[in-house]
Amino acid sequence: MQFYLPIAEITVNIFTIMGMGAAVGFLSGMFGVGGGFLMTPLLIFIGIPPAVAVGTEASQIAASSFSGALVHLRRGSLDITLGLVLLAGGVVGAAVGIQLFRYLREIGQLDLIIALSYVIFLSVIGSLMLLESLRAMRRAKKAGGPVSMRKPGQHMWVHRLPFKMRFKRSKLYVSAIPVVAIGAAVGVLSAIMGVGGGFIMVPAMIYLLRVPTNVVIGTSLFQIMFVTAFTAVMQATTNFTVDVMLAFMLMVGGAIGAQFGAQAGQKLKAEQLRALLAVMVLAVGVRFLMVLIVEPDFLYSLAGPGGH
Amino acid sequence: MGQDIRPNQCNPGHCIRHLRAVCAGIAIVATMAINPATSAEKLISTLSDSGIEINSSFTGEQIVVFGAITNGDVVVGANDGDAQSEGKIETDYEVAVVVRGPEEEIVARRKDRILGLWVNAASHSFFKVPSYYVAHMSGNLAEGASEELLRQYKLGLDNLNFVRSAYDPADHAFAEALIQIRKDKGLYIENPEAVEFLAPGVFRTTFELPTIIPVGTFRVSVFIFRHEKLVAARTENLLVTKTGISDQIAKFARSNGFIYGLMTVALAIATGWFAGVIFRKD
Repeated sequence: MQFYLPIAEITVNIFTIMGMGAAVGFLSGMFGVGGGFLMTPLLIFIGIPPAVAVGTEASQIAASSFSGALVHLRRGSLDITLGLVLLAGGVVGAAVGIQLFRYLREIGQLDLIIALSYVIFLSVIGSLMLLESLRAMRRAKKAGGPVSMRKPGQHMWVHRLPFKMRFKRSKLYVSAIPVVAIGAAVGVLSAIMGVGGGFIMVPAMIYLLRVPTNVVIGTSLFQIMFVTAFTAVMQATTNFTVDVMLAFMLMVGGAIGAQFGAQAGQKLKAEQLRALLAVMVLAVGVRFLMVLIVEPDFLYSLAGPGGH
Repeated sequence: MGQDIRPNQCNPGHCIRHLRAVCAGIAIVATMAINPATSAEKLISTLSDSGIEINSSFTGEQIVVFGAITNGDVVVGANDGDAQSEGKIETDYEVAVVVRGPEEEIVARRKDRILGLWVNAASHSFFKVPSYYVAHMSGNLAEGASEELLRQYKLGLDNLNFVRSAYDPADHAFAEALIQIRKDKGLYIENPEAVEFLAPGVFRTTFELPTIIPVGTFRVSVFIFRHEKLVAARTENLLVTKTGISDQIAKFARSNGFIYGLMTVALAIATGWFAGVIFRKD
């Protein structure tokens, strides 16, 4: 069934889009990630203008992180104080990111920066995750049990900064500066890359802030939900790049896929899941690297009112 | 090329037509003597649609241009039984149909290798670029027409203003790239044999509008030449508009971006909540 998208201004097949939503939803349910880093490149690949892909994906992530955050809120695995401080940084970062997005689009370097951000962040995070999960798998084999990623009692420079705050549920007493900074960095990425930023925030919270793993996911989902909602409203207001019909098709597909993904994920061990996710993250990063280093078939591109 | 009717290779039909042409010629000369501004041939043409509505299920559209060349009240040569020889219709006329979409400003960019990465480097701005362009010609015009004629009436992609103004070789490469990209997307079409004669004075051509056409007024021009002289021309407007739910959404998003954004987020939260309710296990 064909549908003419109001903002993207192209005709798509509804079932193709919902199928993509379901496939990415399956993976994100399995790995517990938002899936923006997979969905945004896919949308660009099928011909959605990159700006619309990034803007629209923000609203879809808001939907999927909302249902995720709700579950964690009920279970009590969500630190609202920590989430709010992260959010304060996130809103500032997203506002800056949207202006940067508009400027890059004007000078014709948006696609380059999107590709470069994907290459840099995905290859670094993917490699770190892969190494960490392989080590954990080796250790798990020796010890014969699951491994906690948290090593309590270690202190780094982060913990010597001023403006300390107490986060009760995380049992943390740390400076607000790195928390706001992490939130802001994720906000910028959400505006430019069309991702939730969980793949940056979760490791940063675990390794830099030493947040207990049980509240990390819920708290990051809480922040992602509000930041992507804010980003979507800002993109709709300043760049007119949010396609509500595209977003709705993705949300419905994503919600269904995520349920099956979550069931599939329970059958795998945490380290195995992290290793698989790392491979996927690396693959997307390599794909973008290829775009940058392989000579394109056609060197020219057009930019105009419609971009066609 | 327009087929000359030569008395020495005459079959009966041709002779009669020749006679008729002579008579017509005398008539034309007579009329012209009275009113020199009057042209003999008239062009009647019509489009299969006078407007296109892009609705939610728009998958592109085909438009047929149908035309007849008349002389007085009679369609030229339409009733000649022997008009067809060797499957080809002999005609004195050459036809070009040109369709132009609304004009816009376009920036073309070229990638260069910088520090090992392919990055947008040089660029060139073009003004008044048609967003859509079709040049369909009858085979006889494409074969025989001189460069000057095609240039004079801006027939063909090479004769578009933005291409001609980019005469510098470096700029011209950008213009050619622009044309190539739009040809690939079905936005620029050039076909030297797409105007088909149904009878010597009756012709037809079909052009396709892809899903990515912009809205606005498209101008469909028909040019009739006889032996490289323009004898009639006519331009009709084809209005492309958006309708239906997609159009209403797009208009609302443009005029009330903030509220539209809030509504999208509300929809996201409602969908997320609904999904949570349906699939809740605890």
